Amino acid sequence: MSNDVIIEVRGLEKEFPGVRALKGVDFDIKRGTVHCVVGENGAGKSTFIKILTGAHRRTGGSLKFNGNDFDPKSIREAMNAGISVLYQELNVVDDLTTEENLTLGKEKSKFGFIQKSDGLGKMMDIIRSLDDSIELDMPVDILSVAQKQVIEIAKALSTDCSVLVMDEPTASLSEDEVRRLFLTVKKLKEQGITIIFISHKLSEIFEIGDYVTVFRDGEMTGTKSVPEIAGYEDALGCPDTFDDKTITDACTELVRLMIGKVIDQAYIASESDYSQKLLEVKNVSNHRLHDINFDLYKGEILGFYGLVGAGKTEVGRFLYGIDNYEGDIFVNGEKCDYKNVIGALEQGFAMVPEERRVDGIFGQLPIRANIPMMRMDSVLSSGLISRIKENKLADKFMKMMSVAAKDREQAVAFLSGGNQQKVVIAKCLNRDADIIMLDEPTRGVDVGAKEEIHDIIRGLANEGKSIIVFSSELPEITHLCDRIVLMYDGSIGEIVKNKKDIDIDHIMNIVAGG
Amino acid sequence: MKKLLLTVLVLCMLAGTVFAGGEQEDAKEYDFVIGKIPYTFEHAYHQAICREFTEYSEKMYNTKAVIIDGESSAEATLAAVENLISQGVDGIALHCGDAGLSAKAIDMAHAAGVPIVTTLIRPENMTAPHIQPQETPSSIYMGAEAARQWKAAHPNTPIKVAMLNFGGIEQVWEMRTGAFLEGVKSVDPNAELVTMLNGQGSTVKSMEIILDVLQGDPGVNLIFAANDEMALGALAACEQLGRGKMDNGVPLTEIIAGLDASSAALVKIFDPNCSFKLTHGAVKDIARAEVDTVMAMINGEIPMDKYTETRVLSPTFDYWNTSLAEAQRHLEINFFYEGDLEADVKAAMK
Amino acid sequence: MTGKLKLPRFRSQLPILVGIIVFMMIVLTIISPNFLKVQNFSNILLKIGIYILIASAANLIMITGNLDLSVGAVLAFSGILHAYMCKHGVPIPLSILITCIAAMGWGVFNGFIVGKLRIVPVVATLGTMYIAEGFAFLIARWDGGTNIMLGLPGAYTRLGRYMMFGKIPVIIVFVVIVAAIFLFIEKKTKLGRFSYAIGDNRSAAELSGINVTKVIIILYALSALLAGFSGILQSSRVGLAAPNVGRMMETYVLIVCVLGGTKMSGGKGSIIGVLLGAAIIGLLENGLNLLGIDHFYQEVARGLILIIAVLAQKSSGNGRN
Repeated sequence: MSNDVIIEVRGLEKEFPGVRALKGVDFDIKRGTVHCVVGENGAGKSTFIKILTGAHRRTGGSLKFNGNDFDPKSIREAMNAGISVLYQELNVVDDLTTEENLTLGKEKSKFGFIQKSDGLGKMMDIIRSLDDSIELDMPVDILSVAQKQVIEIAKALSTDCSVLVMDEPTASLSEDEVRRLFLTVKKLKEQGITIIFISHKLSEIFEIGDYVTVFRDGEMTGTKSVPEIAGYEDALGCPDTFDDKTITDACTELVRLMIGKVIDQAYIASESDYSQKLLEVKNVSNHRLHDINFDLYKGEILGFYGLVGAGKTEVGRFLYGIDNYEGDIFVNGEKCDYKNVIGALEQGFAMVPEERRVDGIFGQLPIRANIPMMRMDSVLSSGLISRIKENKLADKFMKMMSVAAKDREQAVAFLSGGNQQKVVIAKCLNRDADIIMLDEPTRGVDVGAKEEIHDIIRGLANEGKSIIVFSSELPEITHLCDRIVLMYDGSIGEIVKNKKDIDIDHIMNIVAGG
Repeated sequence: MKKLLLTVLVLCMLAGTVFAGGEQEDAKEYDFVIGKIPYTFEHAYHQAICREFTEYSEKMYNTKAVIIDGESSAEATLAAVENLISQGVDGIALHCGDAGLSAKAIDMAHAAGVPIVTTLIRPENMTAPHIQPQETPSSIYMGAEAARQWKAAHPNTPIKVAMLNFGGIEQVWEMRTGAFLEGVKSVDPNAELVTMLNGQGSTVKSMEIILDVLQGDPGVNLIFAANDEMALGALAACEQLGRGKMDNGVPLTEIIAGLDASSAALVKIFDPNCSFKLTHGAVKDIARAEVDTVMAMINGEIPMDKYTETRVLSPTFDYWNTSLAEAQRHLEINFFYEGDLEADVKAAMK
Repeated sequence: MTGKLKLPRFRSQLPILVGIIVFMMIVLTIISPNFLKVQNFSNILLKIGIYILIASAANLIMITGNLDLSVGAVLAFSGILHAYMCKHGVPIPLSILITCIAAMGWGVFNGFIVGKLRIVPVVATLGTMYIAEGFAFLIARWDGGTNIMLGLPGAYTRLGRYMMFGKIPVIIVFVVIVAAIFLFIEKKTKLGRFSYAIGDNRSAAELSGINVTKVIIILYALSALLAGFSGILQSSRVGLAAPNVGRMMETYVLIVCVLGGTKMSGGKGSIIGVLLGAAIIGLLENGLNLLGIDHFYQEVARGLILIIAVLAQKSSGNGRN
């Protein structure tokens, strides 16, 4: 294995209007290694990948590939230079055979008949070297996801690629398939291909990674060799596989690098009434969750924290009647059997969804029409919509949440992200539910609005509402919540009580799988 | 809910099967199979033709008729010809509105060795026998008679004609619209053709158009429609405007003439107070001529690639010169009419 | 705005529509002396009355981001069914009632397939269109012909040709009533508000607890009811029921809605737009007929107007009036 540098990143910057996605990043990627890239959503790792593969142009700094300055203007240009991507969403056509998929877009036609492509033999060789169970005439839809990935890899490698970027390749794979993929990755490495491996599953890094780079808030917070992270001085004396304890400690270290120093934002306990248990979840499991158990009390703010993919959103989804589950939900001590959102709402739940544009706002409708949508009764007068009531309601919430808009007639699509979020929260609050769930309540919201939203949430708890907050921002969780449910890989790791100087290291250890 | 839906679906299917089953002919040995493509199955006239065609070929020649709808569309007609040829029929009778298309159909049939006869619209190539209903003289007569009746009642009002045709069929001018106008002009050379629009053979469309036409020129007093369906639409438009009336056969507001001589038209024509007064057409003779010609070709009595014209009369029916009994007989013979025209006329008069 | 062509932008396209209508009226007044008469406007309203009756409900369906292509077939089916029953001795008012219920059945069927089974509305309602039209032809055949006219009771045409106060055709009266009802539904009822919400963001509507399936079924039922009632009115007016009268009706309804500014992706549109869109179509056809312009040129003109109107819609941006 030659250890010279294939990609050199120096002071790399990317600015989008209003956002600095990369704030001067430096690190090297060595030839023939598996280099992992980790970071929470919005940390800048995907921006880096997009610049590397020609989807975005950098706005500052330098990027060298094989020692030469590299600034691809398109994905094709990056591919021609030797950098290919295996996307999370596979690009294979299920109705076609392996051969047809391999030659897709490369058909040479003669008199309207498709000729076999010259590159086919080469791609087949690659496929055979990676997985010899795939035949040319197999229809792709009988192949597993890992096998489809092999086809995609073969397509990528056929263009003389020396760097292969794998974007969360294990996200939709079963355990078995992950093994097969790792085998493929190792074979590729043996063939001298440099692999940039992006994953949210930190433990995977210790199985196949050589180096890892951690991103946080547009900065690189560390590039280390895997043995180094695992606590060994150098590769010598480092075992091939690590024991569980070592991996957990190393993951905790990575989480620390990903999250950084958590500034203690003076947690104030809300006036929870621990004598009144409002919600009890017992032994709930489904396709993404295993054995979920927790309680929620009157006036309490319960936080769910975990890394991306840990299952926070999924908890919200089954509680809100969107996903199926096995197990029991008790509200006020009575077992519930609602099957859909309407049932959940009637049971006293209300939710602010994670993706406000996709699931929250009615963009073309004015603010006035958005707010009463979850409880039309609030604006009805003898069965009909009363404009006067509607206006009053809109004014009340716009004042209470200080929504910055031209007037209540403004279409919500034209508001800023923070104000859109406030409208979605207002819509949910107007439901006057007992249990309010907020999934990523301040994502994409500026600092000022964030603080306002936090104040509103705390105010609701003080009014006696029970709140569940799902967040991937640890400061938000430690700032707001009375108890924190720590999630890892679809399970609850631990439920901790919040206090003024809560042990952040412990939290990181739990969400890293400890 | 799902169960209900399923039940409804099953019932629909059952109904469909039963219906289709009713249509099924008994297994019977036929000497020949011949195809018939009507212009469109939607008009009462063509349905009657097809029925006569089927019954006559079975009775006279022990021959089975296969009907495929031309759907008043060039593509559907051509597809029907191909379909019949591939079914291996022994002969084809085609009524198509397009001379060029008819020519193409003849070439296709001849290439497959299938004799074919065309009706009404003369094909461009003229290489196969043709049935030509004598519509022109009847149309001329109707025009003249309508104009005479109007002038007798309103000698000082200039005649203004509005017409409804089918779009895109040129021979319709020679046989129907143009001939009608010729008849009108033979009585009143100063008669004016105000407008001629496409009623698409549809009652509803024709009603809308005539409403506009009468708005544009309320002086229109002769309306000729190239089939009865359109004439009925014109009548409905006139009635909507408080017109459409006659005083015991004496024109008051306008005179409407149609074509096909179907029962729906004759019921109106024999109402003395209705302004729809003339029509012409024949079913039986045309259908029989079609069958006879096809069979003659199959039996080698006449050559299949030589143009011959079989002329069939298209008798005229009008309030003033036709008796109710004649009309009754015409309907029975041509339209399988089982009712009593006089009673139907009375019923329709309210 | 994704269009590369820069078009003048308006907040709403209603002013553009009114502009087009005024322009057409001025041109027609100049070239046809008979245009500017009460009777002519009555004719235009009669012509577009059926379109408006059906489009008022179909428009709300389009606002939810769905489509109803079966309206023409349901119209034809209902006309034939009504005529068949009247001819065979069913009292006219009872026949009207039964026909309306049967028509709504088609709508519930549509709503169920689209709303519950989530079949693409174009395909689902196209299927219904063929089935309903097939039944229309079958009923006519059971009666022994291609259309039903002979043997209808004299009172059959009474409804369709009835004149309110002796001079206002009854269809116009219904148009006014139905338009008012739908204006009311749009502005004042949950049904209307939910329709906009579903078309704007179906997922958010579901998560807000709106019963999307129910709303869609109700709207399809309303659309079919109005199509059915229009079928009764039309066949009563003409005094004849034919199974092919609904052909292209769905296209006209679609054109009227799109002309009126309803977004095919949903979330935007109004009954006022439908009225204006129908007025443009009515004026266009009336004008061309008044001038005796040939059918083929009329088709060209209709196509041009549609494209111009859609361009105008594009230029009106995303602003909501």
